[in-house]
Amino acid sequence: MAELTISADEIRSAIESYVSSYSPEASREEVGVVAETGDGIARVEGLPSAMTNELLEFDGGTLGIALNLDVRDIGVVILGDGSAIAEGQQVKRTGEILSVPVGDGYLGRVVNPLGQPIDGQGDVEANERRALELQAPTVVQRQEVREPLLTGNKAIDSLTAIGRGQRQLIIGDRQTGKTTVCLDAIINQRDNWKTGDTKQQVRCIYVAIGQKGSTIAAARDTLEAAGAMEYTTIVAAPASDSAGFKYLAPYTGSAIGQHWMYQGMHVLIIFDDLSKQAEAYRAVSLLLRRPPGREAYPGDVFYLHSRLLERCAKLSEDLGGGSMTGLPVVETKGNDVSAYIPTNVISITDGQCFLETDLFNAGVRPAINVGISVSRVGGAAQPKAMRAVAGRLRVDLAQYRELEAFAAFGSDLDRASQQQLARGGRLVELLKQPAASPFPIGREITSIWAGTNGKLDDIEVSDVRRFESEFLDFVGHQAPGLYDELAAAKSFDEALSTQLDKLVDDFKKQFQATEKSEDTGERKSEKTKAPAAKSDTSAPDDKTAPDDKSEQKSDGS
Amino acid sequence: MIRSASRQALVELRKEEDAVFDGRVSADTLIKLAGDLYAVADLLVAQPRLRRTLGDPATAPAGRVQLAESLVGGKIDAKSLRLVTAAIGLRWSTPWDLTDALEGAGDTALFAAAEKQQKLDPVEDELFRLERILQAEGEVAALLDEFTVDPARRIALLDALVGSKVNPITLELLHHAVTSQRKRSITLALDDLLEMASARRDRSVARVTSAVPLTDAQQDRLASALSAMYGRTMSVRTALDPRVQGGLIVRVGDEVIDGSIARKLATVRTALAG
Repeated sequence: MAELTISADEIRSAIESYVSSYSPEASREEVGVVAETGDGIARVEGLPSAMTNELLEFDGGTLGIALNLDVRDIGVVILGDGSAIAEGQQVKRTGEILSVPVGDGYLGRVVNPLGQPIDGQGDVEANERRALELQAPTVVQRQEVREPLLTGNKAIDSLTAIGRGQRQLIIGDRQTGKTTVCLDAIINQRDNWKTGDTKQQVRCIYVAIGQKGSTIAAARDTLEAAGAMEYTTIVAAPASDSAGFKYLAPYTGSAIGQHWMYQGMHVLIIFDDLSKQAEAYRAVSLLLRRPPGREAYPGDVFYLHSRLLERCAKLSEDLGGGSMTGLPVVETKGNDVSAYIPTNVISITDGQCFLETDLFNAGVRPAINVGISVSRVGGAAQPKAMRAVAGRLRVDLAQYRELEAFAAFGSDLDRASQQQLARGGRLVELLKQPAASPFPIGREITSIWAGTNGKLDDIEVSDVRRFESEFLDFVGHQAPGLYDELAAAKSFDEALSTQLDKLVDDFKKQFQATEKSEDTGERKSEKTKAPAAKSDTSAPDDKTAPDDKSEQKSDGS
Repeated sequence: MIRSASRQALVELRKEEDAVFDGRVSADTLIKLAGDLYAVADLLVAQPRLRRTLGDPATAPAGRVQLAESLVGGKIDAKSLRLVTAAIGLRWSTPWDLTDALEGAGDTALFAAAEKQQKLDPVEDELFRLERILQAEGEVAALLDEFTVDPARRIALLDALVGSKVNPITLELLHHAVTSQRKRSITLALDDLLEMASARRDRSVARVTSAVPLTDAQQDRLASALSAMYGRTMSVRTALDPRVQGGLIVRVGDEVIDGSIARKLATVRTALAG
């Protein structure tokens, strides 16, 4: 029996002639065929060399992303209108991995998740593209978070400070002001933007996922009215968009932001909200027949969020020292933070601000629960003076919450406890802040200083906010450079403290309490505490009532 | 994985194959039938709508058969048409199982032809040798598997390698294995063909690797020992590999009996290291 043998030489020459016989053909294009379609998903046969996350083009120009590469077919998520796609239609490869144009042309624009403008202001000028799925910076490419990112929100800047490059989760039920907190943070970057210094400027990206079109328009109007739109990009995937768009929107926003970050600039990106993105991804995954896991989310829903949030970073000086700060928003149901997506995102982020319905309804706005909210890295980034004055704030508030529950039974309290209650009530009042009115850091520090040092203890609770605003204006007039000095201070020293002491004493002489209550004794004012606390919740001073309404209105989450 | 409806259908189709490829059909006709079956299978692979219509178990079989007859009737041999319509009339779990079964029928026809020409053993041997060569020469296998390249070029490469050295029937089997999308790789396809060839002789293949060539007597003893072990006749295919160093490695299906010196040395080494 003649055995089949092939010598090595024969093999070599056969391969050589095979390789040399290759001539690139002029226009050889792979085409596939739609095998089935429906629910925003298409299965395409053919296209053996399609890559994962490649854009495919259907008849009529509709695009899709190749997500499932199976042995004989491809699972494609249709981006846009899938109603015209039918079985048997041709599908072409574009040879392009999912990417978006990036650049400064995006500032002030509203775009869809493919980077196409949807604000009717013409094309976005961009000469660079960036792939959506790029790996996050490595360990050596990062550095510690040290610079502050000020949100202009007294409660956040004092208690859960955010640094540039940090990921801070904003979590809470619907209608608790999550979006408002985020939009305020964008608005607060206006002063930085006006300096024209790229080391200070923060470019903002607001990614709206699965929200009502009207809500997105309202957010845009808010930013426009505050003059914040010129340094902001909105990536919008409203509720009417297909699930594919909603799932992609955060990556698009992130790609636009990463481009700036790698150029040494600072970026603030807001994902509003990731629970809707997870739901969109769940829809896509189930339609692609990927196995469902807990709460029917696919197995890689953690990776969906972790890879997105890992791309928020503070880059090392070698890479230009740019940063991208992420404020992901997650909506809870019934204040349950132990549901699947909330626990996932909590474990990924560097801290969270927890907003509560009860607080919101009690008039504490922003409704941040200071007990549960933490920031794991922001402390190092906090301005020194703020760190010094806010040191006691968390403890004071925690003790106040504890005592408050206790005092509700109306039992007699010792003097120290009464003192604590009075202080706490005023601090809570002090941390209230209307929407779209961020505080510059100098004013924040002064305000918190007054609260933690007991300067408000002799002011009626209902007068605290008026006192605060008038006092801050007074300081602005009497000591013009003080706010800047506080912001830049390396520490909160004796000199600053005495200066503020003197200012507050001077101001108290001219401050007029609202009601002419003849109380001079401490006891009486303490006694009226309980009803006063009640009045501050039920009627949150007429002065701020319209603000509260606007807060409610602009709060889409 | 084949699901139960398709498994039953395959059994039915096998009976039909036996009836069509019976002893009276000449080898040349069988080769022609194989070509027809491959062509129909290729048509179904290329035309998803047609495949899904013909493989749709929810419609009446008569309608599907009629459609198939109107499409390919007159274009292929009457015997091929009989097999094709028989296959289409059956219930398949997925339309892909139908095309796979048609391709399998094509392979069977070629093996039947080889049997007719008394060449089944050489064909089996050639498949085994080529499998060994491709395992050793990963580059060739990779080039043959590159499914984005025009199939005609890959067939040309295959012809350049083995075209003049193997039986025409082997070549026919290989041509189809290279172009078919059914197996993702030529080595897997060869493996299957090899199993099919020995199954045709009611045997299993024992792939034996040794360091020195085995004598005929040794091979016979090995074959009878393995046959006693597995309870069926074994066809022993031997290959040389000096890395074995001594002793034998026998692979039957998914089972490996490793009695090589190389392995014993490795075991000793781990034992000493531990």
